[in-house]
Amino acid sequence: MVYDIEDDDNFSYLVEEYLQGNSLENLVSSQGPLTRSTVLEYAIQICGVVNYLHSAGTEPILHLDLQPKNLLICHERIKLVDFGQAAGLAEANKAGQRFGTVGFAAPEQYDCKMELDERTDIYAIGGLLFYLAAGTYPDPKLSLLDFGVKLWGREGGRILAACLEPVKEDRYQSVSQLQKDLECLQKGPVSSLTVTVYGLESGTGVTHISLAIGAYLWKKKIPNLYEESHPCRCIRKLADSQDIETDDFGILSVFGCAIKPYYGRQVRFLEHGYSLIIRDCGVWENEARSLEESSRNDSGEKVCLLVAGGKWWNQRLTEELIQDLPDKAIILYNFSEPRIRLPVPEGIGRKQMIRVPLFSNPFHPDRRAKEWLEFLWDNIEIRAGKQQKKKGGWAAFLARR
Amino acid sequence: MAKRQAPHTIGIMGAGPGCGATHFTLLLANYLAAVEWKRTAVLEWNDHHELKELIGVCTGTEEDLKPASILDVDYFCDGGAEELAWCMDKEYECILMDFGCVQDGKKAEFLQCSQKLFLGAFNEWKLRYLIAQKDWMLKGKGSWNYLSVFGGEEAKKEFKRRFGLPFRSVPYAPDAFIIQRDMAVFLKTIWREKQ
Repeated sequence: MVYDIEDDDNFSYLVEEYLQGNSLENLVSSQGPLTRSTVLEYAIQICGVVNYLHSAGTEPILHLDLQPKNLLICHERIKLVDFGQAAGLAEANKAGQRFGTVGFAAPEQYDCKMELDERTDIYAIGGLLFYLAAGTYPDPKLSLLDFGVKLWGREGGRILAACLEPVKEDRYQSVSQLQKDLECLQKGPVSSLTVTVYGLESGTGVTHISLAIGAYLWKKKIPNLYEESHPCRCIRKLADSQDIETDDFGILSVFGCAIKPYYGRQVRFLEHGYSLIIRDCGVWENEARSLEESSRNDSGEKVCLLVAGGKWWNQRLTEELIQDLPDKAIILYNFSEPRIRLPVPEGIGRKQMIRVPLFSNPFHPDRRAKEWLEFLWDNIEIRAGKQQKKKGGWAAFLARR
Repeated sequence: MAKRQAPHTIGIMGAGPGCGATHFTLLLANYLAAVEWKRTAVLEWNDHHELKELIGVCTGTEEDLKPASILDVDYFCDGGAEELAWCMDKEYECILMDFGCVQDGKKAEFLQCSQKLFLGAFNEWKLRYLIAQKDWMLKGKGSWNYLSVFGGEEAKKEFKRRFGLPFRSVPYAPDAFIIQRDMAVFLKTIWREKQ
């Protein structure tokens, strides 16, 4: 965003929004090809931004240099920078030199006699799709249709090929249509998911387990946000101990994880774009219960984890409480001795009970804890309808034995 | 048993009427409560009765609530030594005192606060208040925070050149109950200076 323009006798100044984030180029260089869900999420956002440029004014504004270096990721929100080549439709087609980036520049950008229009930017979006998914620039020798099909199925292949058609008339005719098709493709096993984590009482390890899930997912290259949604100071103390500051979104980066501390209602920071949230809700009390019920109608999938203590002196799960739990709840028993059989509460029905292994560092779990986190995540995804139920499993983690 | 830490007291005073002292007090209180998550109390230690009106609007009652809680901040209208003593005995971590303006005569109380925030306005029609108080303001050089909501940068630069007092500009925030990013960053610098 450009806030202001100033000039003095010697220079002109552009006052812009300060962006904290990584370019797509840096991201892919360091992480390699991105996951399907991430590629689609980013591509949809890129389409949104480009569609705005094409439709905001009386004539379309063409960017003409859409490439990984010019797209930044700020907490899962795409920001487009470098409008050095951008021009209105008429201006872009005036005689003169043309510039672009190899691999993302459409064929018409190489020939001054050919006209540029919105479809030129669509070609670049196709190049970006390929780059994010493959980790390399589009290969002219490769069949884009075959590549796309292998990656995303028949529809995905069609979309990719339709963006990168050499002839403009064969491409997508508008970014909005491309965006719609990408959104349809996204509605598969990928959509938003909120994992709410509660404790039956305080001290059961809700924050520890929530952070561990978030850290595990980041290591799997699945972007997510740990959100502290009850007023306690755990995250602030963590930030102070690491001497870390929050960014414009009010989010901390701790050991490679995105963590948002609890804020009062007065706070208005920038909106983040995370579609996967791990929400630390503290103790399951009356207020929490009504919050869970009222949020059941919100869009996106939700899975509830209830952490209970496994010691003799911990509060027991009652049948009444079990009934209050959402259907997709998983009960986690923490601090329990594996050799001691845990009582199975009345009315447990089909709700799953899982033991939590002891591990001290949520950001660097040991081997057994990693296996457990993988098992837990699989079960969360099954409950969210994003995965088919697997046969077998880690019976050692199941509490009902 | 661990000894409880005494609350941090912050005094806010304006060079004259209409310098934004009350508005800034509310902003700082909301920041401390919502971002730093500190138990915060605000004492209106002046005769303007603005907080009473605010509380009436926010709570919908004209009852004299002591304190009145709005968005996790406790407000005391007509605050004074008695209210301060009461607050010191409770588990507040920050106590903000709005002393109004210098003309209200609360200099001694202002000077006793752990952290002192002095607001001046650089509008041409309010500069006289600042200039009239400059000798007293100089007492706080190096320890007070000099802040300004209104007025141009040129006037501030000139004031600094002549009297050696730098005034920091407070970011624009029309609503004292909404803390946006730039205001949070600014208030954090004020808060961190107390440590």
